[in-house]
Amino acid sequence: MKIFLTSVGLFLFSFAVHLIVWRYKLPKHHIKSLLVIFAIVFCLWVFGAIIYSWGLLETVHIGLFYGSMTLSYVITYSAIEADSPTLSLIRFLAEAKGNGRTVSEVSQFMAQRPFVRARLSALALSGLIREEGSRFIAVGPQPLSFRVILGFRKLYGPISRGG
Amino acid sequence: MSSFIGPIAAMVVNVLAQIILFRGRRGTQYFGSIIQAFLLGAVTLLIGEAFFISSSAAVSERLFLALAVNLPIYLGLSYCYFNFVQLGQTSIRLRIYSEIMAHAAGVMISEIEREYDEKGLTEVRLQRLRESGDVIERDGNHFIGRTRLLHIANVIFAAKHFLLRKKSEFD
Repeated sequence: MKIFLTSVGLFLFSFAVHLIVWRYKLPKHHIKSLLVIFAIVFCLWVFGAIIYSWGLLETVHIGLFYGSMTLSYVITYSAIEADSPTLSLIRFLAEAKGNGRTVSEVSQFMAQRPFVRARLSALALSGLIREEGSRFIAVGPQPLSFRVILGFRKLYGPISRGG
Repeated sequence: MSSFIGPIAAMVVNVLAQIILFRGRRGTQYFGSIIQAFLLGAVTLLIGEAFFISSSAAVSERLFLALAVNLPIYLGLSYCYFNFVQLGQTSIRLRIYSEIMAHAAGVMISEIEREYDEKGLTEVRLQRLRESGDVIERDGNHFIGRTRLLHIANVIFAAKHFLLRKKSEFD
């Protein structure tokens, strides 16, 4: 019960802090800011747990539960922050109800949402690439997160055209 | 004693089983391998928890720990793993970045736009949605078929409106 209540309480507290910050001002880097907020709350709690002599195993268990909830939320948030082309398309079709949408209407709708250009801008905003004349150039070394994902992807072989 | 080993062991089984199943089938049945591996991990978790419950004096406390803590931990980690693998499979951002990284001199914008032609991607998406039954084509018009994606879309868009006070990133 203690593990459950503490983990859920910590998560809800972090979520409340995140909501307050977001209402005050939207940060430039949403995911980074989210991770920082959730990490600070957890670190402060760990500090308290050490002072009040909580058991190590119990603390690790709470960390695992809290971490699992936090990462799940951050992943879901990334889908909230950036539009999914597929889900946007689904909603567009649903709005037409029984009339349906022709291919040209779908193309026109998607043309108003340049997803590829938006992803390039997001990469540039995160400082991973920069635009130089008519080219995009990678900046600095590949971040660890990308290396892990790309390395793991090799296990799956060539990937289909996606997005 | 607090036991967090159960969900970790279950995740190890989940990840290894998914890779083995996927590779063993030479890259086919991707979603099938995800679901089967998830179930294998869940069975591992249940066996582990049943063992702990049977050997524990405080049965109700142990049962609560298994259902309210360890099961959600496993579900959360599995959700993260699914998204991690999915990211490597379909993320446009990742594909573009890896291509730019692979060329020291960079990649021409026109080349990216040609490779990731928005119209072509829309056609691929529509095709995929038709194949999965999420979209139905009738007399040249497209309609919603299965409503599962629509429910997800509605939740995501409501959350976006609540958190970001806008309906689209292009608003």
